[in-house]
Amino acid sequence: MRLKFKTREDKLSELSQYLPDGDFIAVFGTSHTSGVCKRGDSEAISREDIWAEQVGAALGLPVFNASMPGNDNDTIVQQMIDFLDVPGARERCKRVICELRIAEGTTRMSRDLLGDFGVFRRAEFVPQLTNCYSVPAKTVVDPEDGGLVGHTTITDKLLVRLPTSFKRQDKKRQYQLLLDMLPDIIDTPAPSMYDVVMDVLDNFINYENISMLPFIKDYNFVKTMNAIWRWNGIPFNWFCWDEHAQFGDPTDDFKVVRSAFKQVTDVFDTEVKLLAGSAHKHCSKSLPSDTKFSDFNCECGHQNEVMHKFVAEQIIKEIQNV
Amino acid sequence: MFDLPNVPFIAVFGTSHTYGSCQYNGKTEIEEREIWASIVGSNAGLPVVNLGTPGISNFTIIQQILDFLKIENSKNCVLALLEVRQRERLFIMSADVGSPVQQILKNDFQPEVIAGRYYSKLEEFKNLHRNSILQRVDSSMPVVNDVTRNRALYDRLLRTLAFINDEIIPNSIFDSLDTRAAFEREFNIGSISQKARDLYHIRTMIDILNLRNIPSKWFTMDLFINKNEEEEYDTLVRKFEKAAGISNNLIDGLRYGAYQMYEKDTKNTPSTCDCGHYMPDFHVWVAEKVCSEVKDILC
Repeated sequence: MRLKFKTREDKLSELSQYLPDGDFIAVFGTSHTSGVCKRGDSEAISREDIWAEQVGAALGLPVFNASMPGNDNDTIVQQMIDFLDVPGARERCKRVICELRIAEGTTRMSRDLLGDFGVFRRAEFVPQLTNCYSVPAKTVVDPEDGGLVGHTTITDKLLVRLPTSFKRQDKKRQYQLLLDMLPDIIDTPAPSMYDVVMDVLDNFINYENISMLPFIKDYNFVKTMNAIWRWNGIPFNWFCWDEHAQFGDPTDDFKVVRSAFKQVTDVFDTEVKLLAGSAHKHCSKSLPSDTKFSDFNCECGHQNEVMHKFVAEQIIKEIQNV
Repeated sequence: MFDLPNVPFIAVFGTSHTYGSCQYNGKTEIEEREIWASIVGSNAGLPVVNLGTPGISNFTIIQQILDFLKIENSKNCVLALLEVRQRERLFIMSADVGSPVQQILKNDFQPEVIAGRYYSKLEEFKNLHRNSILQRVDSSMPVVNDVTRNRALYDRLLRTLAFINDEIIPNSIFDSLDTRAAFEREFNIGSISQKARDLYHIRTMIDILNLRNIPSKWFTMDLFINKNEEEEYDTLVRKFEKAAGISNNLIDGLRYGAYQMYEKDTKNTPSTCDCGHYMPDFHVWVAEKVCSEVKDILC
């Protein structure tokens, strides 16, 4: 039997099977929206406890969860474009809520520096939406559809997210985390890999993280998302789970940048007001004096069901007010 | 204030090449009518809104397109031409590394589109203290391996961006920029991820324009690939076609960059001016290639 590769349209049609029947809401986001929360041998909270499912239940609509651990705003925009091309999505999606990153201390490293282009060539690329929470098909190999090595997205293949906060961790753990991120690219890491990665982290800590550029980039991503949804006639809201720069009082620089964006863009028109700036901070403030926010943290630095419930309640209140 | 023609027109987004930057014979720009975009418009019998901006990044072009589409008469746009960057040896410098960001408070902020040639040449926008956010805060910096040249450029751009006049810019800032440039040169330039990210940004531009029913075509003026990398580049673009569907919008006659295609076609190197931009004869050649592939859209 001769095989042929599927087209983009074929793949998008396949993805449509993962959309809920009838009307639904779609959510995009990071590991928080995927419910990641490590406690003992449990890696994530139950689906029904994820904030998005609670919002969906309150609205009486099923949820298409397009979140992805390690996701970044650049990739979320691509996911959104793919999503809108999935047959039925544009017509049946009644609301979109996005949990995105604002000025997070992270950078992206290209895996092909550590492997070779051949690895990239052998992969069959699929729309960016393929590996989200609601589409459990990240690396399914199916000879019937001509996939020779399995399906993967371009960003999956190329980018590794490096939290710059790794700098604060001990080197042995840092190195192990990096190796865990590169399982399909290299069998034996080059001895210089550690140095390369440390250079990257140093560079971003010394340069990008001290400027307002990360805020400006991320607010512009929101501006792009706003346009995509507005011009498709689908209501859109966004919030940030843990905007690190918002944990303390906003700096003067931050106030200036925020004010500039308020003057000339619609970025903040769609922010979930009750979670403005940082959901983390609002949740922390809402706690009784005898409760510590850190009690809700899991072993991997995510938050448990309590925070998800708080986030869901704020979003539901805001949507119901509208 | 942000008027656009009330008749059908072509919108053009791009870099300094599209702006017409070119230092020769005491001039800093070529004539408007000599710019490739103007020639395309003239051949098509349509006015051109040239939003080319020196130093612009793909990321900022997306924001310009968003601003442009919010203007009422953008509905008269029949074609958008995108002269984008791919795999360039540049990084975005944040001016606030060099001075307090409060400097930007002095500005009356305007949509990103204001930085384009079309608005910067309009009388009501000239010499006013108006800037877009990205104009004030970021600038594309080259990462050529020439520290002296880089530092002179950093100095000039920092002063322009951050209103630093006679002050001495601390060496630590230059050191930081040198480190950043070295990082980009050693790390990002050699990787596929830079190209992939550029292609994703191009896809976003095409998609946003599609949402407003505006057809678009894109090309790159100087695509930094060697001849032996063409196969790799084709593979990448084909992958993107499968996964993201963008190569239909590529102007095929300029596939490996206008500069490289000119060399292939004519066996000559395009003539450049003192600042490394192209002379009017090259603009004519580019315009011919573009015209031959947009006929169907304009007919």
